[in-house]
Amino acid sequence: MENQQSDRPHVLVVDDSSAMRCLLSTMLDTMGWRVTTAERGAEALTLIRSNAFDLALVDWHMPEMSGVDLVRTIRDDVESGSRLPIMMVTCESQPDNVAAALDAGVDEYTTKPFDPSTLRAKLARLGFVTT
Amino acid sequence: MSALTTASFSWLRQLLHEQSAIALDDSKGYLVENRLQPLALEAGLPSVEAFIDHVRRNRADGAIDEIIDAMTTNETSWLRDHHPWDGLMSTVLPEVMERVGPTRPVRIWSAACSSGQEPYTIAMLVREQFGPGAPVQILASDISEKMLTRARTGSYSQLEVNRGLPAAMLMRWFRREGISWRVVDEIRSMVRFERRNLSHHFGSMPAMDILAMRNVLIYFDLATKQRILGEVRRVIDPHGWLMVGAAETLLDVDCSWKRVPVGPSAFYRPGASPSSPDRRPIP
Repeated sequence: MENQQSDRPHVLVVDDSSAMRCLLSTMLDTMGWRVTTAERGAEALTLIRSNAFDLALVDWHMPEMSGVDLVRTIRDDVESGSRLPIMMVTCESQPDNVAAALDAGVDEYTTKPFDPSTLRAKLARLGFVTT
Repeated sequence: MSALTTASFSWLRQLLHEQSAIALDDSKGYLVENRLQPLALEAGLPSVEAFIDHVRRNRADGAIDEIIDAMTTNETSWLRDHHPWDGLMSTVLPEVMERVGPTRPVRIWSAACSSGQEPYTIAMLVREQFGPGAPVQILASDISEKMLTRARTGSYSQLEVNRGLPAAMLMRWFRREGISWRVVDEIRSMVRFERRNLSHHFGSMPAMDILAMRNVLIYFDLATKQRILGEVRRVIDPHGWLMVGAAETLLDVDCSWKRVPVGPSAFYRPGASPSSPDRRPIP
């Protein structure tokens, strides 16, 4: 079981909503991912520095550290994950928001609500083949 | 489970085949229910069965067109299956441009374009790789006038732009209008939309260099697929390229086409026609 788990690509889901963490975990697990979750930006940074993730999905609006600030911090940290693929998953849909997220260093951006096929398409754009 | 009677399903199946050559097998009762339920509601009728009965009795052309639209309209997305688009830009389009040279524009046809995501995808990719003024003409066609009207607006919901469109392309080629996103004029002007029924004779048209007919042939029976491919052969440039869906193959339909792998994808090019090797499209 552990070997099978370690064969799966590893994703970090960062969202202060437990419902969204649960939803994304279920979707990604079904698609063949090993999922770790974090509720806050600081927790996410600790996890990124001590684990090898293949991808991070980050919410925008979180207490203490916003998703955009988290992304900037990740990109500035050469050691841990400056080249970690990051997708922002948020209900913010205005062009300024998308632009700000891209400037901060996200690789992809998707708005809530979304369905599994949307998530698959976005993951495919990032080079991930899902089951 | 479908509540349609056998008679209603058979009538609809025949109508669909007559109007669009689409083949509906016995297992597709649920599809008919799903697709026609909104029309039944709009007509104030309690069920799809009642709606079909009403249309059969009254034979109103408008209702027939709506049925055809509802049954033939298919979901589409941006950069669907993404590998073929990489192949198009890295290999196919550069080959065509080099061969065609400055004598004329490159002609691309997105057949069965639905709400327009595919031809606009092509236009955006061309613009990004080859810059403004790239000599490319894009024809986009569909059987549904309603879809074409929609496609010409270039306007899409948040949910629709989420489906396969990279965020960077969204920022570059769309403008926000209220709660929708609209393709910028520069990209919209690269695409000409026309109503065409692929099961009919294509008529005279200039030679096409690239023809995208993706996830379309799957809806037709073998004889119709072969007839359509015969028409494609007639209008495609002898050195042209045909794109089909990621899960489709032509090898069990018409083995005269050469399968050409391009990266993880495959394109098809006209091989020697078994019946008429000297056929040429109208230049």
